[in-house]
Amino acid sequence: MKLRDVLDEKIIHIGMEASDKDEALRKMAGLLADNGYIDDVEEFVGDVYLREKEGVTGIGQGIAIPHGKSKSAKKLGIAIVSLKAPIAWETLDGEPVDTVFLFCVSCDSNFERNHMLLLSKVAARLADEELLARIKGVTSAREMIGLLAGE
Amino acid sequence: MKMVGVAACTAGIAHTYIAREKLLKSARLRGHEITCETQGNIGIEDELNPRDIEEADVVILAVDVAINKMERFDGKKIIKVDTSTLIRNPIGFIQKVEKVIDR
Repeated sequence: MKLRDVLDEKIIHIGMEASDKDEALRKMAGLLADNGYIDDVEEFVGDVYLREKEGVTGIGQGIAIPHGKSKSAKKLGIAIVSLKAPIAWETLDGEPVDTVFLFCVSCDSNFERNHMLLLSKVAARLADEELLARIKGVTSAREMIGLLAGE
Repeated sequence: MKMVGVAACTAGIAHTYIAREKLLKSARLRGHEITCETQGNIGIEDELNPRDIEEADVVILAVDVAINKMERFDGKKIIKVDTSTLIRNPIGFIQKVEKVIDR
C-alpha cells in the first residue's frame, strides 16, 4: 500500500467557507459522514473536542491537525480542507489557521493497522515546512493528494 | 554528538510523527547523529537499536505521556521535552541540548 491509498478526494475540499473552528470541524465531520467514514457526526465531533482539550493542534504555518479517536469511525482517513479565509484556532505560533487536516481514527488500535501506519506517515510529511508552503497553493483535491503522497 | 530519541504524544496519531521528523531533521542539520523511535497508537515503530542507545551521549524524550521500555535508558543522560515545544522550535531545542550535554 502507498500513501495515496489512505487519501481520498471525496473528503478533501479546497476553498471551504467556515466562519470559525466549530463550523469548520462540523462541516468536515459532515464530509466524513457523507462518505461512510463515520456514522455519528455529533459523537465524532465530541471526540475531536476531547483531544482538543489535551493540547494545541495548530502546528504553525496556518496548519491544524485535529483528530478524533472515535467509536463512530468506520473507516480511517484524513479529511482535508483549505479555507477561503483564515479562522481563529489554538496554534503554536499564535497565527490563525487556513488549512485543516482532520484525522479520523478508530478507538481500536488494531483496527486497519496498515492504514493507521500510512496515516502516521502522512502526519510525518506535515513536518516538512517546504511542503506546507506548497500546500497553500493547491487548487484541487487531486493536486493535494499528489503533493502529500510525494508524487 | 550521538543522540537517540523517543517521540510520543497523548493520542499517538499525529504529533508523535511530526515531532520525530522535526527532531531528526534539526539534529542532523546541527551535525549530530540521531535515530528516533515512535510510541504511538500503533505501538512502537522504528524501535531503537540497543547499540545506538549504548553509544548515545544523550537520550531525547519528546513525549507528552509516560512511555514503555524506559529501563533501556537506565544510567543515560536524558533530556525531556514536550512535543509542542519541539515542534515549535526544533533547532532552538537542539541548541539547548548542545549546551547541557558537555562533550
